[in-house]
Amino acid sequence: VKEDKFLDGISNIDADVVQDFVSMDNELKKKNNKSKAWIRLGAAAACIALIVGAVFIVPAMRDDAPEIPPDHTMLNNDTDNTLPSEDTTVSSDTDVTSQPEDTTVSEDTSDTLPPEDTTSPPAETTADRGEDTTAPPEDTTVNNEPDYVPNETYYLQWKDVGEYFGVKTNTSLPADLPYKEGFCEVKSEKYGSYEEGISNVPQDRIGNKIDNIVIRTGWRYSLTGEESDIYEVNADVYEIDGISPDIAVAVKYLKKPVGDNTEYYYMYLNPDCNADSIYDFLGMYNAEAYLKLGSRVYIFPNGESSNSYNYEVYDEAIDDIKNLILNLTSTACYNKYTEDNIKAIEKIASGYTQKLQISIILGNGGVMSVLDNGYVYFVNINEPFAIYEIGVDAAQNLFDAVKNNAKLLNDPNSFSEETVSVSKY
Amino acid sequence: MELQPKAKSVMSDDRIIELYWQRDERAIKETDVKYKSFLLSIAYNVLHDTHDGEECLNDTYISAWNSIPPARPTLLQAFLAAIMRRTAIDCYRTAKRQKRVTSELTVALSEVEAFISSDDDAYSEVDSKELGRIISDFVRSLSKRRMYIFMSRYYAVRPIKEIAGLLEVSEATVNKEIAAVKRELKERLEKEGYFL
Repeated sequence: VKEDKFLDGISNIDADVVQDFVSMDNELKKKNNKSKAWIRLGAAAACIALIVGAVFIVPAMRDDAPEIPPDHTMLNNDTDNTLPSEDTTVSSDTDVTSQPEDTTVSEDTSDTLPPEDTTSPPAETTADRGEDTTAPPEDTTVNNEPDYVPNETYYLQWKDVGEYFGVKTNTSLPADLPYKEGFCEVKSEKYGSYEEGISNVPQDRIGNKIDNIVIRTGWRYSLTGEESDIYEVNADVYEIDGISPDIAVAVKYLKKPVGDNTEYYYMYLNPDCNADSIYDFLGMYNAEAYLKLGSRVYIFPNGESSNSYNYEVYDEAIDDIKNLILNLTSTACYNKYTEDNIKAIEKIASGYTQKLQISIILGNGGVMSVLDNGYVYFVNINEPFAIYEIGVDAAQNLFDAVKNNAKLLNDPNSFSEETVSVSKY
Repeated sequence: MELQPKAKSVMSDDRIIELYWQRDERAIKETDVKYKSFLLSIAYNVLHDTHDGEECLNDTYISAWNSIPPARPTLLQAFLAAIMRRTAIDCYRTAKRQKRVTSELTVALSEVEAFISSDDDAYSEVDSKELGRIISDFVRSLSKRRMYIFMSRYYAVRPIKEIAGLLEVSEATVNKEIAAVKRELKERLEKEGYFL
């Protein structure tokens, strides 16, 4: 019981204390990882220095060091130097990663060797290995395999710039960077260009069945176009209530694919159907008929890094706020993954102070965020991602409409479980 | 259609929480990708059993699924840590009843046993909440470093060695700091008229 008391006491520690601890823990771990990386780098540098020392400096310091003849067979003349010359030839298909340390050191005495000798392995290792003529480190210079290191991280970070607005990344994708990209193709004449969205479509929004398609997924390598892990599955295509099939459709798999199931209706979107203004965007989803606002609204006073002020909007004010949204007009739109857009999005992300977040149902539900520097974006409603510039005044109107027509529920400076929210629609 | 390797990417907390709110099962997968090892480390420190830890992990995911919505945690990691800790401690209690547990938690608890009351009758849910409030206030009053040590030892139930490693100090230093914090906590509890 003693223990139980203490355990329960500790378990009831306020969330803000836990939050502080977790934040500090993350910082420390990050810092430690960096230090460890430096230690590893230091160790690697020390090893290299040792090797360089052993190879270049030590022989030079040895007065009695024998003169190294140009013939590479003399490299290890105290061992077996009688091997036939063909055994020492390096094949081009050997493993470029096999670089035994001993061979590195032994052949490093070859600083005076002519270039052609770099294709030869040390005689002793060849003899020991029998028919398996493993290549020495130099064989990387004659290997015909492409230097190909797929890098999926780059690809994912690139995608994240647009998809996860507010997550800062300075990564852009170098044109010559080899990476592998997960692809998902729709084999269909009409819906061939459609891409899977993030959301599932609720059953009550499913309309008529309009097609049957094949979905093909796998990995594709950027440099060669080579594909791997290909998987194909049949699926039915349905209309979504309130959305034109030219914009989006619901897809139900007939056989369970990797990571998904046969129960849900997955939203597939036409990537070419970007709305270039917020008016078109709202029209595309028939917002006048379908837009619903949640009663809970969150204002982050210092960006996403802060806790939010949580408001409960009065029932009678919901329609007014909805009308404000429906009448928004935009002067600019960022809805394509172009370099200019990415830069603009990053600038927008770093240029706001307050963010207003409203849970809404539109298309498949989602969140509408308003930034006090005059921008609006929608998450989990459609893809590709888009940001609309509505102007500082229009953004301020939305902030005011919420603050003046809602009850404040919490103090963000003393976070507790009570700040969690339930939104009515 | 989701490709397996894509699941290895790390999603922002906001996005994961939105998936929970959308009742999209991918929320659990994304939580797993991002926080599995962190959560397992909490369970392991409490239980010293990887199998039980995995079970607690599943329970934690289910609890998170059932809590969000209505919850909209500001810091998902802290929210999950609280659930995992509670789940692991329940598991610890069960294991302890079966006399099959020797974990870091046993050691950590034995350190504070001396100044915890053994008055069974006084024990109640209200008491533990009140104790939680007192401990919270106490932790807030500590320096950042001592806060970290206290929480690492008694909340995350980490071994002294690990804490010392993270802070890049010796184990003796950590032990010294823990002793000081314990002394202060004892004084605070006495002052509040809570124990002893």
